[in-house]
Order: sequence, then structure tokens, then C-alpha cells
Amino acid sequence: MLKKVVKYDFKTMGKRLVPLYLAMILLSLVEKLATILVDRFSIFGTFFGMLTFVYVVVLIGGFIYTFFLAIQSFYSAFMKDEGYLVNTLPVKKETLVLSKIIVSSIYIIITTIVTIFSIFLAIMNMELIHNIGKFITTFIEQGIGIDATIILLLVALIIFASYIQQLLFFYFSLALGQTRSSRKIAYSFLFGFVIYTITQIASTFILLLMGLCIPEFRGVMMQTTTQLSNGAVVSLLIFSLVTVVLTCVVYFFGTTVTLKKYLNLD
Amino acid sequence: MNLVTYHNVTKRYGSKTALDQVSFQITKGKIIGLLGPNGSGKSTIIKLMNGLIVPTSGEVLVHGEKPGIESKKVIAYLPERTYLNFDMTVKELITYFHDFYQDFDEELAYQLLGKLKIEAKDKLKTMSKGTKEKVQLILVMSRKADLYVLDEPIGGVDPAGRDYILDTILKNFNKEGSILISTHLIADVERILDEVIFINQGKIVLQKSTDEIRNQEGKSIDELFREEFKC
Repeated sequence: MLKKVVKYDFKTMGKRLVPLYLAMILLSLVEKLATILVDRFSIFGTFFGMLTFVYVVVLIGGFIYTFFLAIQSFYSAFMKDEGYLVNTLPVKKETLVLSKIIVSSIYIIITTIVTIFSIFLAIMNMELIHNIGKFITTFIEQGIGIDATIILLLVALIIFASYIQQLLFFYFSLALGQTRSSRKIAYSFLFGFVIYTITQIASTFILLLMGLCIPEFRGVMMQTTTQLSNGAVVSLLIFSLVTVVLTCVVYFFGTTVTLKKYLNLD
Repeated sequence: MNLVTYHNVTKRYGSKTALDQVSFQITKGKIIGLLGPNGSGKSTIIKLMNGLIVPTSGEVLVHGEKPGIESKKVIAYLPERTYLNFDMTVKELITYFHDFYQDFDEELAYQLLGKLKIEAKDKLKTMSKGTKEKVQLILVMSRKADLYVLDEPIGGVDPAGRDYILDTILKNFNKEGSILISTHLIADVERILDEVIFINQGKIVLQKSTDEIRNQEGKSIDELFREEFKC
């Protein structure tokens, strides 16, 4: 059943995002063309500046739009008119919410790939790209002293898990807000604030616990040492990843239980 | 076993009581009219059996179980609003219903669309409100469900359209199942009903077969309704 739900969610979001991807590619080509023109004719300088500004706004806006669409898709599917269809499908709420997460995650990855590809097209300079990659790798290797791949992989996983965590945070807040009989959006913000505060308190508590249990972190917390060993950096990243994943699990079940037991499509 | 059972069901929205200690049953093979003035609690009753809201107290059972995956498999629900994704074509919607409802008859859906000359390749957003409502009705009536729950299916439709809708319902519903039809346009639906439930201000005021009403009261359902709900 999950496969079927994913298929429809993927199509629905794709209808909105494919035009954005095309616009990003098209703009990068225009940007490249403008770069060539401005090199030869300085009169295009102002135009190039404006175009670059628009291009950067579109690239940043692409990520914001993808995130906004993921929230909006959840909101319309469960709480607006479309909810009369989605909530009466013989499909588990867990499956429906999981599909939203899977599809939104796939699209944020596609948006990232399209953005990188678009920048590559706009720059179209292999040497520069190679140098950027080399700089990042050298920086991490020299600065931290361990294999850059592990660090990059862990950081990428944390960013990805944090994105899902943010989505689920909004889903959970909206799910709680819809249980009220009026001012549902206002209540969603209120519940969001409460969830955020509780999460922050819990995270601080866990971090303190970690600091007390591991001598190296205790040293950093007490300011007796400022340097962490390689192993400690990796441990810290793994610990952060586990914390984010656990928060995701709590938000996910909070959302599905609320939608199952307290749905209020009045 | 009853198809649907309501046992002392109360539903409150904040301080407003929409349903007050409502109890009734729906049995197999009947067309039941859920009749009452606007705001009497008809849609609340319907939403409860579809699991779109939960009761404040009391119990709603479909085939002896609380509304859930199993009840959604056997109830074909037509809400009083347009609830489909307007970006989808009719063909995509038919595939959607076919994917999610095992009892959906794709062939029947295309037949009904053909009769109305609705193109399957057309997107819903290009259609008039009336055509969208007809597409919704066709999708719902193309299921072989145990219970069809139709909330105000003729509410915003002209008299000719009403006849088409009622005929589509009568010709295509699963004869083993039942229909619960909610409306305040009694005269239009009276001819097709086997039983009526009158609801007013969140309370059931009458549940009887239409034959009983006509024989005992010597009145049509419309006349009795007007008398019962006189302002």
C-alpha cells in the first residue's frame, strides 16, 4: 500500500516542482551566457549583477519552496477538503504520513542535486569545482586530522535527518492544532512552541548527561580543555544523529496517534 | 448484525452540542433518508461513521467495530463538498480509486462517464462545479460497497440534475448493501426511500419505514417533515 501512496504523492509534488527545476536550469544557462557577454562587453555589467541576484534568490528559494510544499501537501491532504478523501482511504495513518516523509525527502535530494547541477552549469569550470572539493577535504583532514569522508558522511546524514525532523515537527504541530474546534492554525503555532520548548529542554538534559558521563566532554564543558580528539568528534556526531532520529520517531508517532485518535475534520 | 450502530453518541464542538445521546441502527438492503433542517447534525452523524471526527461520548460501530481501515473498505462516502485533487485528470482519479478500493468497478465508471460525455483526459480544474460533483458521484457509485453514505448529493443541483443523480444512485448501488442519504430536499428523494431518520437540533426525533409513515399518518414524508420542522 505504501508504494501506491508514494506514487500519488510523488506525482502531486512533482507537478509543482518540475517547473521550478526547469527554471533553475534555464536561469543557470542564461547566467553562463551573461558571464560570457560581460567578459566581452562591460555594458552588460549591471544586467549581469541583477541576473546573478535573481539567480541566487531562485536557488535559495528552491529549497524554501520544496520545504513549504512538503508542509502544504501534508496540511491539504489531512486537514483541508482533500482530507475527506485521504482520511477515508482504507490505508493506515502511519503509511500516509510515512509516504509524505519519503516523498518530501526524495524531493529535497532532487532539489539539492538540481541546484548543484545548475551551479555547475552556470560556472562550467571544472578546475574551480575541483579546487573547491580539494579545499573542503584538506580543511577537514588538516583541521580535524581524520578521514574527511566519515565526517562529511555524518554531517550529511545529520543535515538530512534534521530536515525530516523539521518536517515532522510541523506535521505534529498541525496535527495537534487540528484537534481544536476553532483557530486551528493559531493553536498549531502554540503547540509548535510547546513541542519546541520540550525538545530543547530534553536535548539540553541529554547533552549534560553525556558531558558528565564522558570525561573528554566534561573537560570541554568545564573549560579545562578546548581540544577534542578525533574519536570524540565522531562520537559527538553519531550522538547528534541518534538524538535527531529519536526525536523524529517521537514526532512521527505523535502525529499518527493524533490523526488516528483525535481527527477533527469539522 | 447491523451495518452501523450508534449507541448514546454525543458530539460537542467546544461548548456547542452537535449531537445529543443519539442511538440508531442501519440494517442491510435499505435506502435510508437522514432528514433534517440545516445544522441539525446530519453531517456530524455521517462524519462520525467515516472516522473524520470522534465522538465526545458514546459508541459508533460499523460491522461491530469502531471506524477504521475495515469500515473504510466497505463504506463508499460522498461528502457534501468537492474533495478530489483538482490537478488530476478523471482517468488518474479512476486509477486512484481502483488502486485503493478493491470493490471499485473501473468499467462501470467509464460507462457512466461516457453517458455524460465527460472526457477521461480532462483535468478536474477545467470542469464546472456541477460536472465535478457528477464525477465524484460516479466514482463513489462505481464501488460495490456495503454502505453508501451520501451527504447532500443533490444540494446544489438543478431539478434535472437531481433526477440524473438519483437515477445513477438507484441503478448502480450494490443491491446487497444500503444507502444512507442525507438531505433537506425531501420531495426529491421521497420516492426512493425505504426508511427515514428525522433529526433536529442534534436529536433523533423519528426513525420509521416510509410505508409505516404513509399508512399510519396518511401523509407523505415531505408533508410530515414540514409539519415536524415548522418554524
